[in-house]
Parts: sequence; C-alpha cells; structure tokens
Amino acid sequence: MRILVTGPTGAIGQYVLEALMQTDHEVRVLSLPDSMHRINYRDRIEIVMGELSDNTALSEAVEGVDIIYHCALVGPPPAKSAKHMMHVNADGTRNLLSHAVGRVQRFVLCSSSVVYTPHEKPWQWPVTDDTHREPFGGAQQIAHSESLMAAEDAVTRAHITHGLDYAIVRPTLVSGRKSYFIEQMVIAVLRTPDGLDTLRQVWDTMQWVHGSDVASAALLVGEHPEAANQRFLVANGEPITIYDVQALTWDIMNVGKTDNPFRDVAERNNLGLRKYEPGKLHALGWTARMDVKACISEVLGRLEFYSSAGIKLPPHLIGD
Amino acid sequence: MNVLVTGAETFLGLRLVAALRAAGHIVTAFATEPAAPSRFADDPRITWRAWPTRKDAFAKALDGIELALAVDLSVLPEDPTACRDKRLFKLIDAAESAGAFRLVVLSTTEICAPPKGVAGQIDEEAPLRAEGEMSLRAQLAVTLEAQLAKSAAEWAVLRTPMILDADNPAARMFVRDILVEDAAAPGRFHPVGSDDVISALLAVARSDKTQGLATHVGAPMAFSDRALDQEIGRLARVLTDEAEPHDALRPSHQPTVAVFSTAALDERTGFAPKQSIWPALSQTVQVVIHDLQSSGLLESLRRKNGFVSRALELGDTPLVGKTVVITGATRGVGRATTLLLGSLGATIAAVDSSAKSGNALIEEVASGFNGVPGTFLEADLSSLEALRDVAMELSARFPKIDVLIHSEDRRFNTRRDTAEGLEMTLALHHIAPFLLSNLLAAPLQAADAARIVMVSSDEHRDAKGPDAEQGAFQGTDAYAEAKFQNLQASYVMAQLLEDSSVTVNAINPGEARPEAAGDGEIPDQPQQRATSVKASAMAIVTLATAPEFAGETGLYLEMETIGSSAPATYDEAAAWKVWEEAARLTGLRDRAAEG
Repeated sequence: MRILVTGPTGAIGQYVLEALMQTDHEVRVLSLPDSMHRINYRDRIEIVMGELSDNTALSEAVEGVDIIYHCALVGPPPAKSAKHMMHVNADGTRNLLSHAVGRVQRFVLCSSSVVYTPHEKPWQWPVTDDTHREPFGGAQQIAHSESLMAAEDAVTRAHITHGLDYAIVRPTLVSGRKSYFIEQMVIAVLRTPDGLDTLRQVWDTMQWVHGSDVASAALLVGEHPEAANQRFLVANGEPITIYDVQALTWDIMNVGKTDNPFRDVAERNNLGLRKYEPGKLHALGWTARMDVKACISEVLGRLEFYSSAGIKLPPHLIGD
Repeated sequence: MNVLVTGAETFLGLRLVAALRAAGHIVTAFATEPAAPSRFADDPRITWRAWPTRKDAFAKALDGIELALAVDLSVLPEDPTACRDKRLFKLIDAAESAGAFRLVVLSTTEICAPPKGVAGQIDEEAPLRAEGEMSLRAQLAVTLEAQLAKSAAEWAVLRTPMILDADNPAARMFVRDILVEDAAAPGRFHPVGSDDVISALLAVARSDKTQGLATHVGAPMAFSDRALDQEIGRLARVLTDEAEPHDALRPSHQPTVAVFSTAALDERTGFAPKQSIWPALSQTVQVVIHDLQSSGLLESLRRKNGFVSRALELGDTPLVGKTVVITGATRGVGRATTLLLGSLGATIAAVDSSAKSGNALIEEVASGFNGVPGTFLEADLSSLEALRDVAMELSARFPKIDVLIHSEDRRFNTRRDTAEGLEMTLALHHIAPFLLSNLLAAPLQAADAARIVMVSSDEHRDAKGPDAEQGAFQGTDAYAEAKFQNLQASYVMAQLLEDSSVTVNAINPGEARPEAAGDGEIPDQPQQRATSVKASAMAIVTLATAPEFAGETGLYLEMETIGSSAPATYDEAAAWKVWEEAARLTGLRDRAAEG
C-alpha cells in the first residue's frame, strides 16, 4: 500500500514515519518547505514539500495514496494564536480532505485529548473514547481545542457527505523527541526539587503516552476493519502527578538503591485513579509499551547527552 | 506451560487468565458460562469453556495440563451449595490420579480465628474459627481444604484476606457499607491487592516448599480503622466535587501492624507482597460512587453524553424539517443557540433588531455543518406593533412552528421607555415573549408537539415585587422584575396549554461569559470561566429538542437539570394578575392562548 504522512517531523508524525519503516508500505510525506533537514529516512521515502494550503502540493501528495496519516496539526507550545491554529488545523484539514475524498481508503486524523469536556477534577473521570467534547481551560487551550474540533468535524463531514472512511486518534500528553512539556517537567524536578507544588496544581493528574505508542495506535486504526469511522483515546495506564516524576527520576538516577526520599510524597499525591480509559484501543489489542519511567529515562538521556557533549542546551529545552 | 484456570469468570480469574497469557502460557479456562469475554475470544492460546460435565470430556480437557489454579472461591459462588461439591472435588481426584498436575487452590483467611489483641498476628499455624462463627465462604473453604488434606495429589493452598479490587463485589459491598450505612470500619483492615494474589499464586505453584500446605498472603500494609474512615471520606469528597484544597494530598497515616503474617510466604516462595492498596481502595470507592450515582442514590455529576452532544458527535440532523423561531438571535447565548440548532439541521427563523448581523448569522447557519437556509426577520422586539407584524409574517411563512425560543437578553443601566410607554426591560423580557407566544398560537398548535422555551435567569430571585418602593431606576432590579413576571406568565401559559400539544418551560442557562464568543472570535486573554456560551446553548437546545423533555411543561431548569424558581413565582393568584395585566397592555385580553 502507499501511505501519506503529513507533518513527518512533528511529535507524532516522526513516530508514525518510524513505525511505517517497519512495514512493507511505500511511504510518502508532506512536509513544510523549510523542513527537509529534519525529516528522517529521507533515502527511503518520497517527499513532497508544501503547506496544507498549497493545492498543487496536496494533489501531488495524495496521488495514488491508500491511507493518509494526517499529523500536521499544531498546538501550543510555543504559544500560537487562535487564528493560526484555526488556519492550520481546521482549514488545512479541510483542504487535505478535499483532495482525499474519493481517493483514499482511510483518513487517520491525529487530534488530541484536549477536545474532551472539562476533566480536571477526579469526579469527572474517567474520560473515555466517546466522552462529549467541549473546549475549556485557558485561552490557548480553548483555541487549540476549538481548532481541533473543527478539524474533526471536517473529517466526519467528509464521511457523511462523501463516504470517506476515517479514524481519529486523541492522544493525551505525548512524550518523545518533541515533548516540550515533559522535558520542562523533568528539568523542573532536577532544578527545583523543593518547588514542585505549582506544577502539581498546574498538571494535577496526568497520563502520558509515548509518541511511539501513539504511532502504533495510529497504524492499528489505519488498517483495522473494525476501527473505521471511530474515535480513539490514546493514553498509557499510569496516572501520575509531578511528584511521581520526581520519585521516578530519583529511581533512574540511583539504580539499585531503595531509600527513595520522594516515594512517600509521590504516593500520597497520587489518587490511583485513571483519568483516561482508552477502552476501544484495548479492545483492539493495543497496549502502551513505553511506561512513564521509560519516558523519563529518555528525557534524562537527552539532557545527559547535551551536558556531557558540552553542547549548549537548545533554546526549547531551556525556555521557561 | 499448559495451565488450567477454574473460576475463570470471577474478577480474579479474568485477571489471572490475562496474566498467564501475557507470560506466554497456554491457558484452559473453566467458567460458569461457555462464551469467552471478547478480549479472550479469538486467542488461539486460550481455550475457554464451561465446566465439562461428562466424564470423558472432563478427562479430555485436562489432558496435557501441567498446573491447575482454582480461584473459584475469590467470589462467593452464586449457588454455594452446588459448588460445595463436586466440581472441585472431581478436580482434586483428577489431580490425584497418577499425579497428573499440580493443583493450587485459592482459599480464604476467613477460616482463621480472629487475632488476639490490637497487635496480634495470624499465621498458618493459627487455630480455625469455631464452626458456628464461620461465614459461608469459610465453610466452603474448610470443606475444600479438608478434601485436599485427604488426597494424595500434589497440592497447595493460598489463603487470601479480602481482595481489595474495584471488580470484587465483596470489596464494593464492604466500602458501600462504610460509606452509605455508616458501618464501623474494622479495627485493623488487612486486605490484599489482586496483583499480589496472582503473583503469590504463581510463586506458590512454582515453589517446592509449599506442597500439602496452606500459605497466607496479605498486602504489605494494613489500614487502621481511623485511616480507613478518613481515606474513604476523603475519596468520597474528591469524587463528588466536595473536595477541599487539602484533599489533594493523602495525609500521613501511622503504619498499622499487619493482621496476616506473610513470613511463611516469603520463606517458602521468596515472594514478598508489594502492591500498594491505596490505589485499590480509590478505585473501589470510585466504582461504588458511580454505582450510587447511576442508581440515583447520589446526585449524578458526570455529564451524560446527551441527545444534543451525541447528535453533534455523529453529525446527525435530528431537527431537519423542524422550524425554530428564536428571538435575540444575533448576540451571546442566543447566537450560540441559533448556530447549534442550525448544525442539527433546523430551519431557523431568527428575530432580532440588527439586519446586518442577522443576515450574516443566517448565512453562517446555512453554510455551516449540516446547515439549511433560514430566514431573518428584523424587528424591534420592544414595540408591540413590530411584534404583531413579525407574528403575522411568521404565521404566513410557517404553517407549523415546532420550537419558539425567547432568548432576548439585553439589559440597560438607565431607564428607557418604549414607543408605547412601557419600561424597556419589562417590554423585552416579559411583554414580548408573552405577546409573541400568544400570536403564534396557531402555527405552534399546528405542529405535532411544539415547545416554547423562555430563557430566564437566576437573577429573577432578586425581584423586589410590584409593591416595592419605587426608587431611582436600577438596571438589575428592572431585569430581575421582568424575568420574574416572565416566569409567572410562563407558568400560567403552561397551565392554559395543558391539554394542547404545546409545552412551555423556562431555563436558567447559567451566567455566560459576556465576552466575544458572540461573534465567534476566540478571546485572546484567559479569563475566569462562568459558563461558556456553548454550554448554555447546549442546555437550551436540549430543553427545546431532547426527547427526555417531550411533554414536560411548566418546568424551570438550571442548565440541564430540573430545579425550581423562586417560591413566589408559583403563587397562582399573583401570576394570573400578571397575566391579565400583560393581556391588557398588549390588547389581547383573555382570548389569549386559547388560540
């Protein structure tokens, strides 16, 4: 089969591309004109450079494609204007859809759990695949959510009016090579081990998911016959707070020791209840392979690399 | 390894089968029902079946089994007398014959006599309870253990205290009793988590020091009665939105001496329990509270995926062919309501004072998701004459009107009078809905089931009443008074229309953010969230269209739940007075509402 991945350098797209490299599919990517050097596997894929508003590029990208993994969606961080998010996420998806209808077998949209109704309080848990959608939170979050809902609506509309088969994945907080939030959390744990209370309140209970697990979910719903025209929450099974990040970081950095000074506070802060329950993916046999500890190890490894190589930390790792 | 699991349908059996599968074993599962749960159904490494009744089938099913794990007693069987028997005895016999396989049976520590003193511990040597004090489960366990003791099979027993797990009915009942019946927590509560039980079962099965012995398992810690009470209380607050800020952190509790010693387990198998039971307790309390909410014993807080949101999610158009007349349609909640109705396929007839934004709105509806062409009627709703014109035009254009929503919401800081000399707030919020509803009686009654929705406000509770001293004009007072009279008139209207197909209900759509959502722009500044206009619109559209409100009339809703307005609004005599006065002012008299 021929596959198109949009946004192949992003937090999710790069892992979707990586996962596709383990398959026999022919892969094509659609990527922004200035992004060539950041695309992986350049020798093994077909590359179309262009924006989602570029009809020539879109028609070239979609030509002969069986499945589209649409990962070229944007959100904070860094802060983005509501207009920009609406332009890329909603208008961009609509444009891509106008080329995809009648041509592809399935359209997989990589949305986000930010579209779900307010779920910051434990009595609202668990959020499940088809929990009602409603933007909430700060202005950025609301704007992000509204732009993704518009993108999702465009996809369902293409299904209703043109019979396009689709699947929507909604990952929670994505860990991996482009995981600004998670990197910032690990850096905060290292720099201000005694000042985590604000982060505890900001993030409260989290359930991460690694980019590679989002990719395996996306590939699964891209081809599974029972996944057609459905929405899938993607999250690992570990509810954590920032204090668990601290305790796990200590464990990783103190291999073999058991007297973790942060364990008790971490356990007392953790309610032990899941915020997200990705029931549909589990029913299809998906489970997350990367646990929180593995995600943190990865971030620590990256920080260690920068420090040992004497490389100045890139700005996105230092930023506040 | 080829492993047999009996009691596979129990909560522990299901987990055990999943754990064995994950470890790469081939599993035969005996359950009460022959059909496997969907997650095991297509797995070639799992053979799921009902207990074989025929002897040859039983022998065949056991062929090649190397280990049997009987966890039937993890729950009390539905028919304990039938189980006392036979099936497990047969399994013991089969294990005995030629030492075919090792049998590990799950039993219960309930058979042991209670510990002595506040720090007493129970180990495997502890005496049994007197027969008369034994629970049904303990009686079954004793029978089973006695049968094993007589047998020459290769066997081991694992005794567990209560398995604290949200899927365990006994654990839910235990928590529910403390939560609802205010049952006293036990002095020391020492349960065990499912994961530890499964690990212990496998450790006991693997060990060569457990042959012919019963071994105890328990969690790494126990709860004191105080800790258990406090924690269940904290969880109940957190899970019913009653949490105090300090509830985010579980307090430090003094460690309590474990009731069941796990020294023998450690010594015989090298396995030490490590699963924290705090999360297990949280999960159990969560399920109990959700159960109480769904059975109506606790108010349900969780948003239902209702009629409107489901239709939106699926892209359904349940309102195709329905005509909705809405006033105050171009601003705020009215606007959001119009757009929402449009995306459900309704034919919109919007009434408001600005032709420019009105026509743009209708265009937006038509070009939106599932939108159909609609109509905009420009009218000054404060003018009786304009209202009559609009009503005439609407009646002419739409022989049937399915929904009429009065969502005009303007308010004024200074006193203004209408052309007819009425105070503007009263004219817009009370007189206009009154007159328009009456004038549209014919098309409303022509519809199969029409609904009139008055968008009200909680501020009506501040109304000072008609006899209050007339001081300087206060916008908030005028608004409260107008909304108050509007409610009175609504209830009279509902009463008059009781035998018709038209219903009249009022709704408080929450305090909407006044900001820019009106023109669809997303605000640049983060702000305190009252209700979003979208949520308010969702509540209004639910009342106006959802099947659960079919035939309901005279209601006052707080968002999507039925509430009640200020007690004085239900005073019939006063309400009729308001009705008569409105009829007089509008020249309707009492041919009103009769149609």
